[in-house]
Amino acid sequence: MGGRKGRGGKAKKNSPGYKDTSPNQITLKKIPLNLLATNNNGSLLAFAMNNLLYVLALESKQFLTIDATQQHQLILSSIEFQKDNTLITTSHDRHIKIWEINNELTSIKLVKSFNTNKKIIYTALSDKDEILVADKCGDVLQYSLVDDSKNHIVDLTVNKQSKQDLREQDKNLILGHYSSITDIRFSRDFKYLLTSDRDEKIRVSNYPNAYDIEVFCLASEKYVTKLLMPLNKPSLMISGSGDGHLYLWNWLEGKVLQKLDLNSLSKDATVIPQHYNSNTNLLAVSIENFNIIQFYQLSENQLTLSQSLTLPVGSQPISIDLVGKDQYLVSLVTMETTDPFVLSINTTNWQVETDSAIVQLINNLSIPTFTDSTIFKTYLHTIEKKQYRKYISGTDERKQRKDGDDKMVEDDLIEDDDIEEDLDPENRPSKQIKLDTNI
Amino acid sequence: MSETTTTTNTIDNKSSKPAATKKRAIKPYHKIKAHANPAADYEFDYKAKPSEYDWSKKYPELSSELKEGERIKVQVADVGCGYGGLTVSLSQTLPDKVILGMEIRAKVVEYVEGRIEKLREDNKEKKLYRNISVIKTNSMKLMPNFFEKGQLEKIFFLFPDPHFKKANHKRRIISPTLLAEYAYIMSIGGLAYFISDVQELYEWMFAHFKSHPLFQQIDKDLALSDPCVPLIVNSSEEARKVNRIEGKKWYAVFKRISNPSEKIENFENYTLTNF
Repeated sequence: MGGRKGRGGKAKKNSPGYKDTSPNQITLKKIPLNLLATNNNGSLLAFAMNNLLYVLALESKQFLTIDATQQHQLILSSIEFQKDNTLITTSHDRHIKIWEINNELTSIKLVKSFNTNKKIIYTALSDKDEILVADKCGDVLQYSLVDDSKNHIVDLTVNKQSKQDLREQDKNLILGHYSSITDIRFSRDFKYLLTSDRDEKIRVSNYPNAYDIEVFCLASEKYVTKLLMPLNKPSLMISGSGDGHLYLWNWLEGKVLQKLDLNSLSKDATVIPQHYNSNTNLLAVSIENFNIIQFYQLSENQLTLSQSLTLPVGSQPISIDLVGKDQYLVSLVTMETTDPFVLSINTTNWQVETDSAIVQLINNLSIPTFTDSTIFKTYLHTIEKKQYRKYISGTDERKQRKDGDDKMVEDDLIEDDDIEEDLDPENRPSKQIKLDTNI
Repeated sequence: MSETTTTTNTIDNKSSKPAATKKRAIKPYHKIKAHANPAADYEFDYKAKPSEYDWSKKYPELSSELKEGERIKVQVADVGCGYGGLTVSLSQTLPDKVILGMEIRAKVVEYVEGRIEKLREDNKEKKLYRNISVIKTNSMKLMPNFFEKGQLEKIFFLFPDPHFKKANHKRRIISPTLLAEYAYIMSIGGLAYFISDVQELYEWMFAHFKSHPLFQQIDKDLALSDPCVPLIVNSSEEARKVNRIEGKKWYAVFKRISNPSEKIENFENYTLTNF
């Protein structure tokens, strides 16, 4: 039955018919930093600049030395500290890398690197030396960081199996959404896995038995941008959405506790909850294309968020993390070469500062020169992972095809005879159905 | 709607009948595409949560008889109902259940809507066909928007699109990842029926149901005595199309179990066929 032909109208990215129609083409002259991450004891800060990993010792204010040949080949997708001196990074180059930092906090060494054959978009670390990886197709795969025998990875240079065969037999696949995943988080006790997608849904799966879905958190009217799990309030989850709202959930019950409208701040706001501080119950939120950070206070008793502060920061925040007890570090969208990579917010007086030692150290980083101008074009989209919130197979394609819709392939047709006239049930001839069985 | 010469004639013939009686829904004038891309973003009418969907517009007679505070709850879903053959037959076989056909192609849904409306009208006194309806939706994406956890007692997958090309296997209605969603909306003990005239696709669906920890094939004598089984074999338009060419059909019934420990070890899985 091979006679069916595909429509073949799809314009591939590199074909002459493909046009990049994203509305806001931004020309960057400087690549912003993203993926700010600090370790638990607060001694180290890690971040990414395109494919490069940087680690900064906060006490000595020195960048750790790193072998440039060990860096990822493509833009980083995630940086996570597993322990205080172990770092896991993933990248669009399909690799997971495990790094170890020496006790003196002066250098970082690659311990292990393996190719997953998947374009990694989001990750979450389990409590049992496993990493969960969401790829661009909406699948979530689990890899062991210590036991290679659990990672069924086929060497594509040796094995000639098709990609589809590999996907269908992938033993590392633990769950999948039919649309792109936009974030992945564990509950504090690692008994549940939360995955959000661009079709408005947040799925709560049991873990490790992820085939058993516990509940869906449904309320968003557009894609979910990001999930935050407050460590001091394990029953709560915070999500943002392209519908302009911030949601506070009792995630295990799939219940919205509070829905905050941020459309008054910016029309058609895309709300991104960036950071939750378990010590102060402060939530930092950014809005796409909007140069502010909005802070909310979670009340201890009522479990509600109230707006506490709006801070203009000069450019759109990309990533926010706490450095030390009373300083937020914020990485910003940079346009001109003179724009700062980062700034800090002093929480004792809520002043935006550009002159703290760490900020100056980072802002004085040399800007790598990229020969490929397309990197600049797509970079912002890529670091904000915007493309995974957009439609997978565009509606444009559908519009183009509309004219052809009435054409049919003959063998697809249902004949009129097949549609039986609906008879009064009493007059309906009783059907004799023969059932043969075959084991 | 563009009309060809032949279809215009059909309309004229129909309109010459007395206007008072409701016309039988006729197959849409257009030849209809047999496939739709489930990954594409079509326009659908759905709510964020199942509790927000207004079922009274789908089952007006049933909902008018509801007591205060009661809601219509769909118990049976015919996924990819096509021209509605099974949905209509189920109305009589499961008279106490609320049955919903789900279909992604707009014109086919229009047809089934008309068909059900006509059936209800013709059987007004007998109060028949009030328990069936149809919605245009994408079952691969939007099931959790329509059904709560454990809501469905029966779910049917009849002659789904085989998507032969390997690159399109992800579009098949049964896959390990989608089975997790179907398991979520099904009640414990609920039954999933599937049938295909394409052996390759049947084997694919069978293998995935068999290996899913939350599904267990039901005993053969149970399957053979199930009143819905004859319907999946012969009631749908697609089934009749297969009969017309004397084609083969493969089918099976699986049960939603509450946890993997209920899965029967060494169960002898079997396949039912029409030959």
